[in-house]
Amino acid sequence: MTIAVAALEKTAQSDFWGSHGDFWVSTFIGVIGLGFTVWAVIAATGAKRAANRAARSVKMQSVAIELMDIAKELGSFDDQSILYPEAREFMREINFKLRRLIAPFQDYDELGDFVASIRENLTNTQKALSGVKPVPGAEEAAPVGTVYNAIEGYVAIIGDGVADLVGLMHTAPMNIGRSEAKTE
Amino acid sequence: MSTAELEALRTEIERITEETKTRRMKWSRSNPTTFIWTSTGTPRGRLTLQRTSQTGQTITGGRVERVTTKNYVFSVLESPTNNVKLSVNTTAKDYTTLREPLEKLFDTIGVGFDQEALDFLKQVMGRP
Repeated sequence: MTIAVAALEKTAQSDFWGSHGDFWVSTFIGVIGLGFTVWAVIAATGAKRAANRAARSVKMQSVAIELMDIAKELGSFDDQSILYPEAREFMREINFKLRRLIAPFQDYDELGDFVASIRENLTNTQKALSGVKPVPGAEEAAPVGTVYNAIEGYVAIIGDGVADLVGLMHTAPMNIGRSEAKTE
Repeated sequence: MSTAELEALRTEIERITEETKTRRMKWSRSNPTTFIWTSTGTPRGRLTLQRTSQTGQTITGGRVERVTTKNYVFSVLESPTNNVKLSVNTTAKDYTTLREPLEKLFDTIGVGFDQEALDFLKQVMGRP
């Protein structure tokens, strides 16, 4: 009887999965595999983030070059005898180019305020320009300098804003982040 | 411009405002923000008054606030050559003291135009 019980216990012990060496080998391999998978996911996420940052950096640099041209155009605005139709055409072009270029950066943490300020001043310039639109049938034409006086302050502010934006784009493209979760 | 000259100019602007109020001076509007008055006597000249706006930023208690300031460009031109004899722009530091009298003049001219339009409307409608 005693022998039978001992035999049964031995059989039970040898059937327990924890006592099999091959179980532990496969478990170890599985854990290592899982570890590699996690590491690969982390590495891939990091690589994706780095790739996105690099792409953003390239995009910023190309936009910065175009913005520099616009800043120069704004800086050279000094024709005091400019008339309403010319000024309207000048601002129409600047307005279109600038809004197109800066729109993608409106949600970027460090650029958003500059973008908003430039947009606001573009709108203010349009309003100021409307204020010097010649009245149909006016007895006398407005004196030279009227259109210039109306918009030159805003043009200067927009130029400053664009220069600031270009500076930020040049110096901190890799650090500037819209919340990465939004895009990545 | 010296302080005395600035004061003289201020007095002259106040006189112009009075004469505009009493309709002795009749201005014309060349665009929504620019008024012109042409003298009939000798020497012939023109006065122009333009309102401009500037938006700046001020920091109050750590908060950035945008402030819009109205400014005025007042010019005296020789006719018919249009040589500028005097030009005052209240964006310039020297002329900030003239902002208030020029604002008053601008508003007075605007009120005159509104009144004239209302009078004309009444005439057209045959009202007393």
